[in-house]
Amino acid sequence: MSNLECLLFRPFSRAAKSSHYARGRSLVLAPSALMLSLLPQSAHAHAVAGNRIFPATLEVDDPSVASELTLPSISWARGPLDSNGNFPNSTNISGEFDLLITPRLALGISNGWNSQTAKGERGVYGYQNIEVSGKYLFYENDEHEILMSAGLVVDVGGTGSSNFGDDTSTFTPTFYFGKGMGDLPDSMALLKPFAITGTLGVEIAQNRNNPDVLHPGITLQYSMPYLKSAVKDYELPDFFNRLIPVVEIPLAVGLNNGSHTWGGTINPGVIYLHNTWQFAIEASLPVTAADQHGVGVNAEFHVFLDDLVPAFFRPITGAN
Amino acid sequence: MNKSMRIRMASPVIAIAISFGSHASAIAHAFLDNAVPKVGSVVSAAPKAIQIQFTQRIEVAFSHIHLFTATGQEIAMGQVAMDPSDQTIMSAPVTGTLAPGKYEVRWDVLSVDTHRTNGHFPFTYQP
Repeated sequence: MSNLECLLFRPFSRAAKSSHYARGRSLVLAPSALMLSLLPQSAHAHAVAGNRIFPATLEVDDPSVASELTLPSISWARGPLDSNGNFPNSTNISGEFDLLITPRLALGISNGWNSQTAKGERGVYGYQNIEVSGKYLFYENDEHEILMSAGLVVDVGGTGSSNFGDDTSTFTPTFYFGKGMGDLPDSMALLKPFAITGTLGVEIAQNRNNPDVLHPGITLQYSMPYLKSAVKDYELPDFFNRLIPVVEIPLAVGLNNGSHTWGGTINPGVIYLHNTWQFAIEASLPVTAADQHGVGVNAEFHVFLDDLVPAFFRPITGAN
Repeated sequence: MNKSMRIRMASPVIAIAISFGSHASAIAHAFLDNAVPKVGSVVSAAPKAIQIQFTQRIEVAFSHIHLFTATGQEIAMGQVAMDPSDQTIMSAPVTGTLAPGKYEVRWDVLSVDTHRTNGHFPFTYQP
């Protein structure tokens, strides 16, 4: 398997999580292949459609736009077997800031620091390329709990360290959607807290020797806040009423240049949703052995700035 | 970087820190926290009012409560009013007559930080 193919096993994820996937059979990867380690990222959001709050998910971005801050986002996993017989430890610590320009348009910027270490091998450390993003919410239906957005994520080539950032850029137009199940019939009331969100992005490489990559992603979530506020209040302790169990499935497949291999992870976890912030933690299970070795962990703290400090983080223009 | 620029750049950070240190829940989207009758409950007496507590303070002048039967017929309600001791609670008297059956409460509110939210929840009147 070539480095390129190896890297295509990497799931769709926010670029800030790319350290997991900046791995190959050695800890030093070819720059051309490293580009693929910088996967699409975009603005997480405090997404509201009627009764439904779509939380900010860790790997598959939600469909809304908001002023918000993700800091820190931490992920760890062991890479596939390298040439020295090790499963290298990959750690990423990153952050992301998004700002509402209008009530429907947000711009974002993110970066992260990566490390890869393995017993008896020289560790590799450094920043990944900066990513900038824009996302526009073009459809909202409160009655049916639907949100749809479109955005562009740009991985800016040459802005990261040579170990983790490629010299050329990638451009990822992405479609985002969310659908709550609150319009199910009352006979299925306990299913109403379910929601799905998803993304579909095509990562277009500026360096045409690298493959373009399709990034489909989907989440399934069950909202305890929704159960309490819109279906039935079971008078559970407040802690449980703030939990949203979630499964994220970020995937990726190469589209050209001889790379057509699927990869990804399945990430079960839970989100604790406060009024102005949330904390999320997930396991990361590889779809194939080439994705990673064993179970990884992702966690992040996320602040809804337009709720926490509305005076500073209103949309720059347009009504709220 | 001059001093005034440093202050300007630090302002949002300071504001965030102050917000975390104070009552953060007082400035956010207003979502339903509790209701009377309770969300999804079965009540044996027809409620004389609908009361909703939100996760943050609201502007009652721009907030509403409506009540509908299962077939979509609107039940007459009086004016919404704020709980004088708690700006997160608003209520409206039910002035129409309730027959036994399922009902849906629909609400929309403007929070004090000007975020608009809306939602709905069911209850059943079963004497």
